[in-house]
Amino acid sequence: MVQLLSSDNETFTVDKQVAERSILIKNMLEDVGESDAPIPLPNVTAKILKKVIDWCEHHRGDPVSQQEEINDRKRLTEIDEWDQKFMEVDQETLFEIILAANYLDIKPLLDIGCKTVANMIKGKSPEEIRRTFNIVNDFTPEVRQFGIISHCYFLAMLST
Amino acid sequence: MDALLAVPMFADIDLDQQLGAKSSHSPHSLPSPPISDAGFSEDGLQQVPEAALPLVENMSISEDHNSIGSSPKAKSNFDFDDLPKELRIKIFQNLAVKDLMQAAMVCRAWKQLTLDGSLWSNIDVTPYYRNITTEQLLALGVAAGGFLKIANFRGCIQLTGHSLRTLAECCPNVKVLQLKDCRTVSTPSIACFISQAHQLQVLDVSGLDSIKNHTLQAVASSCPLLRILNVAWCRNINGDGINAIAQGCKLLEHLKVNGCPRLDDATMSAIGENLPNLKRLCLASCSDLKDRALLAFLDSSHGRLTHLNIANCAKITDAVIYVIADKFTMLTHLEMAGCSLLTDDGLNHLVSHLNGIVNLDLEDLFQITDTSIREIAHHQKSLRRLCVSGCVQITDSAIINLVLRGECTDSLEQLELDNCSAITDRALTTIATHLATRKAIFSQSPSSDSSSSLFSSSPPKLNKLSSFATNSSEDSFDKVLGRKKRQLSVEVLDCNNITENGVRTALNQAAPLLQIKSFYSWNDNRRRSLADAEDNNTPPTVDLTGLRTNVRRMRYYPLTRTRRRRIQREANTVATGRSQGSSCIIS
Repeated sequence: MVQLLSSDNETFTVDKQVAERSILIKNMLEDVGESDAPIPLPNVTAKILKKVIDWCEHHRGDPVSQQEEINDRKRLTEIDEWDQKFMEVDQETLFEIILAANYLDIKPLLDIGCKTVANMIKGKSPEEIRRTFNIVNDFTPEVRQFGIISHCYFLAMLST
Repeated sequence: MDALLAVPMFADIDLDQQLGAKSSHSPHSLPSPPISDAGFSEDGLQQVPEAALPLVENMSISEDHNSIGSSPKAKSNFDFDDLPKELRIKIFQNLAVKDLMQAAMVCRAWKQLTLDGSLWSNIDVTPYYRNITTEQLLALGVAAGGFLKIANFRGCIQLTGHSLRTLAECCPNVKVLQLKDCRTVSTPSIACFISQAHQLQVLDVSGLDSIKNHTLQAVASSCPLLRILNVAWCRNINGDGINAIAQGCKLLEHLKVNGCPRLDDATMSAIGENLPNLKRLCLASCSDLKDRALLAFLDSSHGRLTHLNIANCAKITDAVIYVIADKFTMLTHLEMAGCSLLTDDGLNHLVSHLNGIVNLDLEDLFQITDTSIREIAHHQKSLRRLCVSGCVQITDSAIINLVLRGECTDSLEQLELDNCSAITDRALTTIATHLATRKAIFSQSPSSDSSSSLFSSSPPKLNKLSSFATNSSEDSFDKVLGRKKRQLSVEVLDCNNITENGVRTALNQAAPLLQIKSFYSWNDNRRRSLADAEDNNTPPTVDLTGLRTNVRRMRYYPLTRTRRRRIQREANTVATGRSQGSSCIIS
């Protein structure tokens, strides 16, 4: 068993196998050796750490693929059902999970998080995207008009 | 329209959050959705009251939003823009070009992000090559900059010489460049790009008149890493340019020089000597290629060739074939269509020495006879495609022997007999009976190895399938195996002695295992695929237009149809650009 200490000083006790889904923790354990001292994770809150541990528990048996995956824009939407449900959280939590996955170096979780956000962008108009992500349109009116015209033209072409 | 789509979606989010709030009956509840509430809120609530704070803000934002729908004043703790740039880009990497274009219009920061080079390491204009403007193409290239590794501009005539020069400056790391049919780029601008592209590994400039010998010299001196080069049908090059390539690009594995004139002894020997890694060489339609030049190549070659195409090099004789047989022991694909001087002698020697041939094209070698076919049947274990169209001396007995008793009986998938006037219905019906019998034996006794040799390529899977089949009806066996098993496709267009009755009988006997392309079957195919479509709701698989044109053309040119088709196909690739482009080396 391994003890993990969140940024807000909450301790979580998890299986070594589960904790080692995180390459960061795995490397730390290898460096430190056997020790009962909790591993401090100053960048992750208890709330997010709990989520991440949930994910690692569920995926504990997954084969760890070492090979770097090639950027393939085609296999985009493939997120398995459990992960989809897992990612049904508010945006802030989602972004924090992504950040934590990046910090803890859990590549599959990071990929799923990024895909989930990408799916929130997919197929939307710029205005819909702005609403989804709470973004202010800061283009100047001229650019806005010109940009919209040229982009609409481009998109019309793409769809033909 | 946008607003209509967006409002209900946003209302959902709001609802979720309110539900979350209600379920815990406390303003201090966690901003997590109802699904993950269980087992989570307990530890969270007691220990981290701070975590509850964002909810209040979140809710206020969403209310804000619903009321005015733009420029929210309040900000949640953590927004998309708070993610580090590399993570935002990682998210964008999951988007298709179309979505990236939309994202670029969201705000300035997003526009900047979409133009990040790492999103454009692979620019493939295939979906919009006709419509993208010169400026947009250039903008993409400039945005990609040093990240651009794979650039496919195939057939995009908006790519001007000027853009290519700019790209040469911005994108020095291109590894794959596809310029096939980009007819608007000038000779100097291609040379300019080439001279900077030191990382280039794959170059396809087939069909470009702007490629000259000195362009190839530039390639030779600037691109030492080149592995694949396609200069097929570049009408302004000749052996001198190819010679330069052979001197400079020593890592070349794959060279396609279809229709190149003046490939003389010196050039061919340079290709052989300087390119130790050469695995595929395509010399099709280099019609003035002589025995001596090819022998010079064979002499100096390192013998690693697996694919050789000398189709329509009509001056080649048996002498070359003898040497090929002795030297290229790794050869698997050999195309010699239209080398009409070749005879049984050379071919017998060839097939008895090279045992691993997978694809053998002997179209229009009208001097070869049954002897060659018998030799093939006797020696070739892995043959999958054999084309003997136009070999008029070949008779039924040789073909029957090949399919029924040949070494390749398990592997053969495609047999082209177009224009073989000596082939009759007997060949078809015998093959059909044979296949049908095998199928019957196979379905009855799946465990016996001898009977299932037809499918021996993947025995474990098929055994499973067949044991499943014995338990169910004959029909489901067909359906299951219809996708998995190996079919034999026979082409008998223009065979004067094949009758409609013969084709029908054969198809009736062994339809799923045997496919026959003939003058008569196109109509059957249509009917069957229509019926299939009705049954299975699947689209018809037969390309009717192709078959129809075949039929029409056949009536006008009954004797040389296949040759004409081949020549026309090659001409098409040059003339109309993006037509069919047989076996493009990049895609």
